[in-house]
Formats: sequence, C-alpha cells, structure tokens
Amino acid sequence: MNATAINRPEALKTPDDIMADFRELLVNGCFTTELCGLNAVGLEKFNSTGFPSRKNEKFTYLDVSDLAKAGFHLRKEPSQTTQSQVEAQLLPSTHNSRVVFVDGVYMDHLSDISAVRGQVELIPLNEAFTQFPEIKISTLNRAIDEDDPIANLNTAFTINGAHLRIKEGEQAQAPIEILFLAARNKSYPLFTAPRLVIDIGAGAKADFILKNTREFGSYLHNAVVDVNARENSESVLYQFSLHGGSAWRFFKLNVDQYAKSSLKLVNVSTGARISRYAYDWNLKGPGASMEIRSLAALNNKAKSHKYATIRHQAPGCSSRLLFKNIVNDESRSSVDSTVIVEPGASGSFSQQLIRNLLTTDKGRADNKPNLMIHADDVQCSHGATIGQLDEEILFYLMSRGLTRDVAARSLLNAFAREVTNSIKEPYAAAVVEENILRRGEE
Amino acid sequence: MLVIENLVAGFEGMEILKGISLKVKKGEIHSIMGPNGAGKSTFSKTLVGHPEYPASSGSVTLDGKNLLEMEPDQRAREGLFMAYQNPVEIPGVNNVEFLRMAYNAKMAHLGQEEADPMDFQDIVREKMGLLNMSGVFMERDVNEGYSGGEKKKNEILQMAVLEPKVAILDEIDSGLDIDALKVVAENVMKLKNENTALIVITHYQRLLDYIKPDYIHILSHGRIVKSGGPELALELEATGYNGFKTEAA
Repeated sequence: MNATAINRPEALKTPDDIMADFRELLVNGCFTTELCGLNAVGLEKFNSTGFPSRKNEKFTYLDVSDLAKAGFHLRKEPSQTTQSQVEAQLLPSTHNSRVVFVDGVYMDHLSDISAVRGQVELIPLNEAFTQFPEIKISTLNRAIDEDDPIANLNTAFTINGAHLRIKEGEQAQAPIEILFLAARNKSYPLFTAPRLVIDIGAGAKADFILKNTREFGSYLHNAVVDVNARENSESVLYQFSLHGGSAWRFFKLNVDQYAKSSLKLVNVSTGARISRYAYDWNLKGPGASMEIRSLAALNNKAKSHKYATIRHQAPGCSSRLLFKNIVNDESRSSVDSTVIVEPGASGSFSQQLIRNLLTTDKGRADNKPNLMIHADDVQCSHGATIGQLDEEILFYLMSRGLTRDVAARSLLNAFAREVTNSIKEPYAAAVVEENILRRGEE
Repeated sequence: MLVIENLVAGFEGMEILKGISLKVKKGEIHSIMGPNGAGKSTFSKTLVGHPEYPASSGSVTLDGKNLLEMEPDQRAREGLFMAYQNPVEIPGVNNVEFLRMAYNAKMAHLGQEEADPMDFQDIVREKMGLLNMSGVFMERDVNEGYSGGEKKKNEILQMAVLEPKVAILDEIDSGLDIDALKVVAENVMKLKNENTALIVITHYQRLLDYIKPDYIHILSHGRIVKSGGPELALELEATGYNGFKTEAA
C-alpha cells in the first residue's frame, strides 16, 4: 500500500488551498495510482459544489465554517499502530472479523477476517479497482453523482480504502467490526478520509459494526461507506460513535438495495464538536425494506446533525426511520429527513418519526421530516416531537427511594431503549448504554 | 411512629390543610375519610413530599426524624410509601429493574447488602406468590398498558417488596369493580404486620369492609373534624359527610 506517498503536511484552510494542495499532489503522484481517478472526481465535484455554507440545503442546520479555518493536514507519516493496540479497541466477538482503518487509511496488515473467511472477502480498494472493473465503475459512478461537498472531500483525499464482500448465499458467522482507529497525534489537526465499499451478495446475511475510537485534539473523521445490498440479502449495520469530544465527525452512507433485500441501520452516538450523519438510500428493487434506528445522546456543546434521503424507486418497498435525540446542557441536534416515493413505486410503506428529549432550557432541537409522494397506493406517515423529562414520573420514581439523578437516568435510558434494544451484541449494548448515560463528560 | 402536628399545607398558594394532627403507631391502621375537596389528596401528597404540595407550617416526624426537611426519595428510604390513586405509566422502565433499584436504594440506606438481579428475582417471585400475581408483571414496563386493577396490584407489589414503616393507600379503591377491590384489599391485609402502619384514604366505607381500620378520621375543609373507632364508618354510612361538616362549623 502506498498510503504514505504524501511527504509534507498539507494545510487545508480554504477551498482554494485544497485545490492548490491537490494539484500539487497530482504533480507528485496520487496517494495510490489506482485511486487517482477517484480522487480527481472528488476534487472536481468539490470544486463544483464549493465549501458548504448554510445556504446549502444540506447544511441548513449546521455551520461548518470552522472546518475551513482549522488548518487540517493530511496524514504524513506511516502508522505505528500495533496489533495489540487494535485488539484493545475491538469488541470481544470481532477479534477475527475486523476491518481496520487507522487515521482514515485502510490497514490490510491489521485487519483479520479469519473467523468469516469462507463467507467474506476483504481486499484493499486499490486492488479491488484493478481486479474488479465493475467495482471501480460503480464507485466512480457514485462519486460522480455525489452532491455532498464533505463527501466529495472524502473522495478527493481518500488514501486507500477497503472492499468487503459477503459471498452470495452465505451467512457471516460473526459480526464484522469496522474499526476507525485514531492514532494518538496531537501535533497537528488531522484530516482523515476512510472509504469502504460493502457488497452484500444475493441471499447473504451479515451484521456489521462500525465504531470510532476516541480522537485526540482537532481531528476530522470524514468517512464514506458505499453499500450494495443484493437481492434477498439481510443485514444490520450498527454504528457506535462514542467519545466524540472535540472531533469533527462526518459520515456518509450511500446505499443501493435490490429486490426483497433488507438492511437496518442502528446508529448510536454521543455527539462531537460537530457530528453529521448523511444517508443517501435507494430502494431500487421491488419489496426492498430499510430501517434506521438512531439515537444521539448529547452533552455540553455537542452538535449532531442527521440528514437522510430515502428514495422508494420500486413497488412494494418499505422504510422505517426513527431518530431520537437526548439533548443535555447546551447541545444541539437537528434531523432533516426526506422520503421520496418516486413514480411507479406503488404499494410503498413509510414511517418517519423524530423524537427529542430536552433536559435543559439551553439545548436546541430542530426537526424537518419531509415526504414527497409521486405514486398512488402508498401508506406514509411522518412526525416529530420535542419533550422534557416528565416531572410527575420523576416524582413517582423518587417516591420509591431513587434520587432525582438516578430517576432521571432511568428515564433517559427508557427513552434510549427503543434504539438500544435493537443491539443484539450484549457487550456492545452494555457499552453503549453506559456511555449514553454518562452525562457531562464529553 | 409517625407524628403529624398541626400540619398546614396547600397547592398553588391556596391553604388546603389547616392544621392536621395525627399519631400513627406501628401496626395500626388509620383511615382518613372525607368528601371531595376535603384535602385528602393534599394530605397524602404533602406527606410524601410532592413539590406542588408544600407544607407551610407544622411538623411531620417518622421515628423522630423530620420528614418535611427531606426530599421525596429520602422520605421513601426512611420508610414512607404511598400507593397512588392513579399510578403513572413509565414506558421503557422494566417493572422488576425499577423495583430492584428501589429495593437496593433502601438496602444501601440501611447499610445492608444490595440484591443482584438473580437474587432479586427470587425476592420478587416470593412476594408475587404471596399476592397471587402473574409472572407477566415481571416482564412488563412499569404500569404501561395496565388495567386499573393491575396498576393497583402493582402498587401493592411495590409495597410488599419495599416493606415500608408507613404505607399511605391513596384511594386505592377508585376505579375498581367490587371483585378487583376485594383482591387488592385482601393483598393489603396479607402485608399487614406489627411493623407496618397503614393510612387508608378513601371516600367510601366499602373498602373498610376488607381493610379493617383501628381508627377513622373524618377530614373536612382541611381539618380532622372527628376521630373514632371502626363504628364511625357506620355512622358515616347513615348520615353522610354533611353531618360532619356541620359538626365542624
């Protein structure tokens, strides 16, 4: 892997700076030769969309202007991360079914899929581009269609990613953990751009766990994951994004689902300086079903933004979206989700619900559930609620001997369970519950 | 012993309790009866520390400790319990988990060993057996989707597990048909022992057919206007509350 081709820090201060830096990188050679075209597409797209402002409808609720001022650098030295450092971060059930990125770069030698070898293939993205032209074409096509400026930055600056394939008809024997590990590095603000392509074969089944480790200092995690869920496949994608602290976390998920496939995303996050999760989801085949269960538990001045576009493009598809936010302290949450039922997608079923629990007067929650229906015979609903901890219930719990703090935590936990109950891996569920209730730490 | 002396309390600035005094000893059953608006709910909520029903003067002590200086949770840990007329529903909070937290809060307060989930299952099962309750209660969230009778049974289960020194039963007969009333009342009587005192608040004499009080107090316009033995209920049955209001005047 030629991930360390950059031999000088690249300060990314403004879009013009980024352009200049990238031109120089192109002169010096790409990160990897095979991904050069992809990087070029990303740069061109970013150049056309420009740096996002509040005027961009995808960023109405989120001011990211600080990003341009942060003076980010790309990774400039090889990773020194060891196997034991990786293993310390893994869930107990995924030691031999892991895909490891360090500071945004896929690490083949730190990854291990021996527990699922018969069902799963994993190769670096640059090799996938060479060996499987169809992967290169579909990834490039997605990049060409991408209109999210931050995702375009990922495409422009991804050093190397991974391609993960669940073989047709196979069921992965263990959950596959995709670990985004932040190496300790406080010397400069780091720009990372992990890229993962997941192909779930027809009739295949697998659970995936995406997890961030704690970042230190100013750190931009800007990940893009492309998923193709083939006919009759069934998968669950868990995303645990805890310990955000002072990091910027951006995540873009692009999904194409084919006939009768089922894909569920369970996202639990505790916020960050800014966290933004964008989902671009196409239900392309008849009878495809998707679900998002998302929980953000935010403290201090954390900001969390969810932006989802779900397109029903075939008959008989279903989508279920549940976004829940616990807004503590001076934190902010926003959810902007749109379900589009395209012409011909008759028999669609869709539910959207955004629920917010504000525990203080200084928090803020913005909600914008949208529905655009261009077909007949559909059943769609959307709604949003904002509430506070119920004082009568708090009193009831206290009158049984629980302190106010314990009573409040019980209610926060109860609010969260509609999402956390979906986590099948017990250790992960326990870690998540512990972290979402840790108020005032982040 | 619970000692209430000249308790004055109100709601939203209105004085509702106008000086109530009462002594309740271990093992005794006292019934507070009165018409709508007499102050029965204010009395119970003030005792357990509801923030909207503050006491403005007087004192309430339990075994010599001043309850009025305590938060609701502290009062509960000291041994005060109230079975609510309309218990709240708490979706997402499992009944048994909640009960274990409450039980362990009390045990920690008493300096005794807390129960782990397995041990606590045994404790709850024993109490549920005593009260002839279905195991389904263990699986469900607190009061969520319960019928009126189930909610009252669940309150009595909590009382059984927490073993309070003083239990206030706030109109637990309301909304129950006669069969459900009998079951709930019989369960209460199964829990009666020499260490637990009961304060039974009710409109109607019918509850007292099952929970036999040692003393009855008639509450009217925020005052106890008459106290007596069980025979007072029969007098009340014959005359209604109007006679007692006149007596108060």
